[in-house]
Amino acid sequence: MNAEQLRAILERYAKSQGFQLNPDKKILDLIIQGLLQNEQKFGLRYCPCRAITSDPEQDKKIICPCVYHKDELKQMGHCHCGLFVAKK
Amino acid sequence: MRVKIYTTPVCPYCRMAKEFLTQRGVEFEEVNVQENRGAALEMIQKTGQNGVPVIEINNKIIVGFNQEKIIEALGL
Repeated sequence: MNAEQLRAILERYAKSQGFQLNPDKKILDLIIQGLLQNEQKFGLRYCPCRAITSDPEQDKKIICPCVYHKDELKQMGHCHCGLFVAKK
Repeated sequence: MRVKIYTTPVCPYCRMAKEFLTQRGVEFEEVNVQENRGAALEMIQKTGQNGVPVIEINNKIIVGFNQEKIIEALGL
């Protein structure tokens, strides 16, 4: 999968959930690059802004979209890594 | 002053935090939690969460790239 394909998937997901991708292209590109690098290295799209522990149960929680993103969007208006942001 | 920053290589806010410290002439020790699992667990234990960047300034912990808190902790 390339960056454009992944961006399209994430965009569809964000839209379906009522939020959007980060409009800051620089940040968005870095996060997508990080997700693809993690997929290549670890076989799963772990959030690039979270620590991988090697505990499968814990690490499952940080596969993008992570288990925290919806609460973070409610609390901060964006998820921790800044991939998803709330619609204004 | 002891400054330590827990990062991953592809986290945008880690890059911003490092640039912020460098621009202000602050020397820091960087720990890549993706390469160093011991450090990852240490960070999680210290902060109760797994997100980076985490910046430790003289034993004060700052989670995320929070410029105001960093400036305050550095005494700038």
